[in-house]
Amino acid sequence: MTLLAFLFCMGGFAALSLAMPRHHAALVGGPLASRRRLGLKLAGWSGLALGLAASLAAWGLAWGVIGWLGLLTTAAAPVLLAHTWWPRAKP
Amino acid sequence: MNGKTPKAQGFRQSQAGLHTWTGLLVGWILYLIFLSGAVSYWREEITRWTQPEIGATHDVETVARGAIAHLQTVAPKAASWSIALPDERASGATATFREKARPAPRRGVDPNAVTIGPDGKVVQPRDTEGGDVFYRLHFDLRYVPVIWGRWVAGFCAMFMLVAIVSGVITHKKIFADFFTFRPGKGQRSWLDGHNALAVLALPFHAMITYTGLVTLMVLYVPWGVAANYPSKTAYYAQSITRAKPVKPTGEAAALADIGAVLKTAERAWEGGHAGLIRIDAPNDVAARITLTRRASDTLVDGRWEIVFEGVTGQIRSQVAPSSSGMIARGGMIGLHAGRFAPMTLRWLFFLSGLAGTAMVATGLVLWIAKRRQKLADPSRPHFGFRLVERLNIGAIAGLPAAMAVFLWANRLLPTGMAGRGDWEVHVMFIAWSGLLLHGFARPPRRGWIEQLALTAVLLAGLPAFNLVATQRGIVSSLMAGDMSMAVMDLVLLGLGAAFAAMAFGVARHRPAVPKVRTPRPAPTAPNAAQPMAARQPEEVEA
Repeated sequence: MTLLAFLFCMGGFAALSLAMPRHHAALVGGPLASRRRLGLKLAGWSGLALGLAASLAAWGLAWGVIGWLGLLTTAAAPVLLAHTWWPRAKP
Repeated sequence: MNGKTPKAQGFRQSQAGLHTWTGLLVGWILYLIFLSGAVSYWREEITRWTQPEIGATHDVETVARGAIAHLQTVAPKAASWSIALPDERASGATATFREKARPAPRRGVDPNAVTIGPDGKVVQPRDTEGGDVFYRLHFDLRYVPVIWGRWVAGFCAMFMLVAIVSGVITHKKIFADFFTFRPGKGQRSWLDGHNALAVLALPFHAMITYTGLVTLMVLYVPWGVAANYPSKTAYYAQSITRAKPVKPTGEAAALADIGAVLKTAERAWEGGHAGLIRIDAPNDVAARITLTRRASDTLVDGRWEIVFEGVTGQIRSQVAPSSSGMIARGGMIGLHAGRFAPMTLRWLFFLSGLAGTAMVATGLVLWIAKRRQKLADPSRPHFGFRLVERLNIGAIAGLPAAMAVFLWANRLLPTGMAGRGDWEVHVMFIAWSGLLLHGFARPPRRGWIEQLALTAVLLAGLPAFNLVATQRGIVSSLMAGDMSMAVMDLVLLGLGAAFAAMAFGVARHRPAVPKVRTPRPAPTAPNAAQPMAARQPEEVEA
């Protein structure tokens, strides 16, 4: 359940980051249509919300919120690193 | 400053200045507080690692029975016994007794205390402070009176709070740069790294700083107590109620079975566990058994107690945290110390703590990176620049090395040595002093490489030494299913590898934009002090 929460958070952050024109251009290329942007944002926030739900399910109310915040930190880090090195790895 | 800048950017500019100077002033101590605090999430595990003579505890009841059996033989007529029980993470219990019903000395070595191993027998572990060294260092510092240490820690925490708020305000693009890290770009990279470490773990940083202040709030903000109580003693007397001493009748009676008493407590606490057993007037009709709940049981750090009749094992009375103020404070202390935290959460706390440590470190290096560009004569920087530059080396790379030296001292100092436990700590601080001096003695770039490499060797060497020279190497730990020993060895190895990567990074790093300067070799190469950004220099070109 913890792993699931982590994956939800990471997926959420990945979608949110791709909803940002700069990162979208670097990783996907091409212009970011406003409908796609909205979709990505929606998906991103839902991912984070699902992460919270899974954290609550894993740890209960008091520790779930704390755990979720911790997962947000650790889940955002790989997304950040991906944005740093992924575009460079592409030819 | 006020009049000269235009109003629009004035506020953020002023916050930037505030952030820079509050951060720099307390930076090195904050680094120490963050690093020692982060490793203190593994306080019990470190203590276990430093006392390999004691194995993993599987059954608390066996240990409790063993402790009582020991106390029955050495002090059947003592005024009281007390037994500190291990939880899942610790090993071995401490059993001690008091001849007379007077309070024990607060500090110092207790001559009556013995350690009970997992099999219920007395063991003789080596004399060490174990994980408590880093835990104490985190808020008491060392070699200064405890109260001073706490005031310094509180002062630094208050500055940290200021630095967090002013840092958030001064951060231009907190959302736009949320996922941004641009390596190999000198000052830019340091700023990106500093921002990422700060923003990504912001909930943790804010929580840990604020709750850290709350843990010692009675010390820092004494006026609430002063206004409502005639004296501090009166406040403590009311907030920490102590049971009245038990008067023995002189009539002998057998004690109730401790296993049954522990089970009763577990039911009363709905699955909670006892952390401390205290038996007053043992082997007397008036005997009384008091169980205190483990700190790792609940989020709220507070006093949970059950008092039993010593002979019948019936519950006499119970105490639980009740006032909402105490619960709020206890909740914050619990949150800060993470004693309650299950394993996954503990890792998240630890990683966030390391992020905080790295945030402080990058902030300190950023101060240098920012000013290096503006030096009038880079070959002869001014005093303040040199001071910060050199202190950074001995603090950022030197402290982890010194902490590794502590663990080495724990393995190498002879077990029978007088004052062994103290000397482990002395050796750590001697090593750190040496490294601080080394930072001033060597050219900065060499200083960084040498100290980072030394840290790497010291850290990675520990599991190797354990494997080759002791019975508790990683292989035997894994075979015995003793995960916390095995994981600690692995973490040391991993940290060693990380420091090795940083050392190689600095060594291979070639400054991106060589500035025109006097043809002197390496010593004051620009961007020399950039272990982290330098880690992937070739990718920059790709």
